[in-house]
Amino acid sequence: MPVLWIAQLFSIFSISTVLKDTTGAFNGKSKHWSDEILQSRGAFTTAAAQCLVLADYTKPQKFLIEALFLYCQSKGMASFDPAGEVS
Amino acid sequence: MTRQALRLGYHRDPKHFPHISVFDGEMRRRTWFMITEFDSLTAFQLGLPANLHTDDEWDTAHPRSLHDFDFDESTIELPANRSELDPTLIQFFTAKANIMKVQKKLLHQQFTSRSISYDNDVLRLDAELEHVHNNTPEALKFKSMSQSFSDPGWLVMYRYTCNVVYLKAICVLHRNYITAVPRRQYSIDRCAQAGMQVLTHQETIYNESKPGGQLSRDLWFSKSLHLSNCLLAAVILCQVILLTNEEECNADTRTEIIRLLRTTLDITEHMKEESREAARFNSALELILKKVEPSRASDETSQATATNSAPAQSRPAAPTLIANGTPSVRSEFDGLFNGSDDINWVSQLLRCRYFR
Repeated sequence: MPVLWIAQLFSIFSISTVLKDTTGAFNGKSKHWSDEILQSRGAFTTAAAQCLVLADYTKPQKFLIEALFLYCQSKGMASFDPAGEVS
Repeated sequence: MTRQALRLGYHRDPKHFPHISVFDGEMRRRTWFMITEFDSLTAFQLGLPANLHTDDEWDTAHPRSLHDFDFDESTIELPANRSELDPTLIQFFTAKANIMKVQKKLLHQQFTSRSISYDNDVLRLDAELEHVHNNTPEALKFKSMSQSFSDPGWLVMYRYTCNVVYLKAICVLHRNYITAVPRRQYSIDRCAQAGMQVLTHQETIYNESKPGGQLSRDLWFSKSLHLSNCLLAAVILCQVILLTNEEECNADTRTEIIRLLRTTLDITEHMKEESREAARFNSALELILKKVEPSRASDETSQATATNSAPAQSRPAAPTLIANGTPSVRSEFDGLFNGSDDINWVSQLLRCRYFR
């Protein structure tokens, strides 16, 4: 399985964690569980970054652009303050 | 990312390469599309030239307006575009991209060192922008909230986003001519109208995102209020008020502008505990309103100090910004109110977020 495909998957996990939190899907569950889920968001983004480094993102290869793009998005959505990015 | 995409050949349309399958080809078009949009957006936001310049350097077609279930890996031939009345996600991106094409041209014009003629360059771009805006697909044409009652939240937000991109482009195009000699009344009117509409949109979206509103179930979309757009609008409106005289901008317009600025100030008051950007914007707006309404300045300062002390105790990260926010924002704003010409002032104001 190409490493960059896994990088995309991690970024998607990270983004969907943020989205689930924003839409309030965690309301009603125990606070402890929702905190854990939120912390995992950072772990997913880090894992995606590690995959990108492992696959050497400076070399052109399949899935590279998609993986990089999704990583940027997951970083941008990490906080309520996007670092001057996409609309 | 752009360089990597160029190396991987995303900038050439896949129909030139028979070994790329139809599915892969369409996916490549979508990816290239996102890259060009991203490039254009970041250039606009940061006030720097774009990486991808003219449309002559690449020939990848727009992705077709299709839903995800319309084609898959085994498709031999791509289906034709869906009708305009059927809103797909791609349609939204295509509509936005058309406006951003014109926006790229006007951005290029801001950076160029040759002299710009008002009639040839600015008015021509203005007409082009209007033409593209009028040709927005029916499903994405702007409708007020009362007319969008049965539409899903994401569609409403996309309509607003398309509209705001268009309004932002108008603001940037005509900004330099608010204080130009000879006076350009058309530019002043365009800037004032566009700025007021952006802030009205923000007010509507914020009110509808509260519990019970139409957008309260789609919080993710509505939370991306893009304060930078509102900051641009607020500063442009401030310039319109301060730097024009009575006959260029009448009293009714001024009153409406001040009302909108106050509403935006209230919105950012609520948001500033969650977001540094909102806190910064809040300080900036207070300064703007002080300049615009000097008689009420003393009331506002005392109220602002009272509200600032409460959040400072609950969140240790916030006080550093709020305490230091006002003086640094003030120094950056000093040049603004004198009608300086540097486009980078928007990016300078927003640059503080990089100091994490």
